[in-house]
Amino acid sequence: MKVFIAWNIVPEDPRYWKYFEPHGIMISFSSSKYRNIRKKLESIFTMGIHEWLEYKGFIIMDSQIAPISVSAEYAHALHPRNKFLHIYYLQRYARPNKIVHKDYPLVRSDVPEDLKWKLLRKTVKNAELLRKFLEKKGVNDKEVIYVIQGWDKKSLEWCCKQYVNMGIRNYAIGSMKHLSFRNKDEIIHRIEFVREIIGKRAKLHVLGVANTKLLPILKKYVDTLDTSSPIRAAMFNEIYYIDDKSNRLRRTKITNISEDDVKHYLPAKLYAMFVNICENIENLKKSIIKRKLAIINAYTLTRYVSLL
Amino acid sequence: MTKHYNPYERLGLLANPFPRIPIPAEENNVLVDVDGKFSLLKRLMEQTSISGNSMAISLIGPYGSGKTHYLKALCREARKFERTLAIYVDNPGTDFFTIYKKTLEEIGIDTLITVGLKQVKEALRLMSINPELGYSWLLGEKLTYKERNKFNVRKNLDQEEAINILAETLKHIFTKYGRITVLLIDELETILDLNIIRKQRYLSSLRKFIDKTQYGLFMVIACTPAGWDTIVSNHPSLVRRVSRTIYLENATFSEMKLIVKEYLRRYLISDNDEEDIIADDVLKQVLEVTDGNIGETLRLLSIIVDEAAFEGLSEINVEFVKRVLSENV
Repeated sequence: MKVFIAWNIVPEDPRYWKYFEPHGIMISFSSSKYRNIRKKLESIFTMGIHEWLEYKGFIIMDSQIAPISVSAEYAHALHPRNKFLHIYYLQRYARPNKIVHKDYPLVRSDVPEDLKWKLLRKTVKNAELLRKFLEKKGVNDKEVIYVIQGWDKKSLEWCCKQYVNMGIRNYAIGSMKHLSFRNKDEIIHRIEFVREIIGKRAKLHVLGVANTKLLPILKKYVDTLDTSSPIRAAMFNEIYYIDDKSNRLRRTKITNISEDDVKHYLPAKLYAMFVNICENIENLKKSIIKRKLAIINAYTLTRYVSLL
Repeated sequence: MTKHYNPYERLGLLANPFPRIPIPAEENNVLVDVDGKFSLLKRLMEQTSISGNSMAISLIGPYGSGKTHYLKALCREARKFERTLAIYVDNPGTDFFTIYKKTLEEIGIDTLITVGLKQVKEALRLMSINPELGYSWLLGEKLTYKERNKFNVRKNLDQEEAINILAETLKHIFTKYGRITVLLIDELETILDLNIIRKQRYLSSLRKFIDKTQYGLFMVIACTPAGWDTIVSNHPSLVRRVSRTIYLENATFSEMKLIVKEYLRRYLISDNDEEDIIADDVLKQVLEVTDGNIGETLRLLSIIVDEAAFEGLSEINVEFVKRVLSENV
């Protein structure tokens, strides 16, 4: 199993690959509310995302480019910015290794059932239209990851079967982030269930895993996953470390950990960074601490997943 | 007469065929229809001229993908037909008056008179006193308070009036003469650099102009993907007026080969073959760097041909190309 670190263009996340070799990164275009994103995107579309980032590793480009927590979800889905072709071309102009097809996440619990079905049908329709579009252009869709959405067994099963019938081999499962802490078992059940329908040979990615405790279990079912937890932990001044005794990934406040706890696995450069944070925690700017911790966390997480 | 030394002769060329500046010149008529997008634009333009129903199209592509090239080619194409009036606006400027002025200039005062609008009548009155001033006023240029007082002009034209005049004029040209107006606006994204009030006003003017010009307009607006994404996000009402969005893509190897061949053909010393000058493996090397971006590929080929000529080479090989690329990418 490989872990992709979620990476935001605006505000720009740390360039992790300058410090260690991640398994890959998952990029979101971020919200357009940031004024300076246009100039950055202009450069990305001209240079290509690899050259712009100076990163040769694996890049997946997500399809969520607008905030999804708007009240009228269906109206939001109909917004011209959420049209699959618009998103597809933005992704394509950036030239990543893989792209995620335009889906409509079902993260809010207060959305009525009929609206959920409408959104789900739209997600599946987008997949169908994209496949037709690529077929017409003679482009292989191996580089596309199709997102499975659903909120219960029935909807998940319907979505998976539609994709299986289309002959899709690359899958991702979405709308998991909000379940990560509240309902761990539900996540596992869903993934297990999906794997059963799509078969062992199909590739399966999990979009947005917030709870790292799930990682050892997920390993059994998925090929790749992405997470923004390294930077999220860093925002709370928290650090990931690998517990020597239990061999587990743990998360604690930076002030609760000693240099000896991390010295044995952190590379010299990152260890020096850790020491620098510890020694100057009162003097360093919060944003600098956050970025440094995010890098250390991303490394620790990557190492942990590699060892699983 | 002394014959000038031609450094490109050893390569079999009369001169460097590739553009040194990645902006197509007016007379540049090399056109390779990448992925059939140009044919599509032409067909849509023809359909508009038959039905008369207006159409607005957005042409999206990164720098160097051929937007300007296509707009200029479409302009040349449209000018071949009597039933079309083609206007190319290289930059939308700071307000709607840029488009308005350029279009009116192209239409000409004689045609404007036949529209019979009150503003044209007012301009004619003014022109009878001061021809230059009257025409400038009609084109949206601002008269000073003193000038307005002197010539008894109530006010300068505002954007609303400009939209109405243009919409009415285009409709008139279509209904009376059966001609459609092909309006090609390049670099739409530059509007986004204006301050928020001007930007909103400009984009809203474009929307109103489309709404009011139901007949006789074929408008293509070219924009970069990031610019278009910003417009799509923040100005969906304008985007909803756009009948179709055409996304330009980078050229494939075979498409780029055709483009290169077309450029070389015009500067070949007779009996030479285009492929002898830029061989497939050479072009592949360049495309590896440019990912098929047409503008960037042509720019690099221009450098390669220059360097090869200045070094007195008679052929361009992969090793040489790698060296030149390493110094120029």
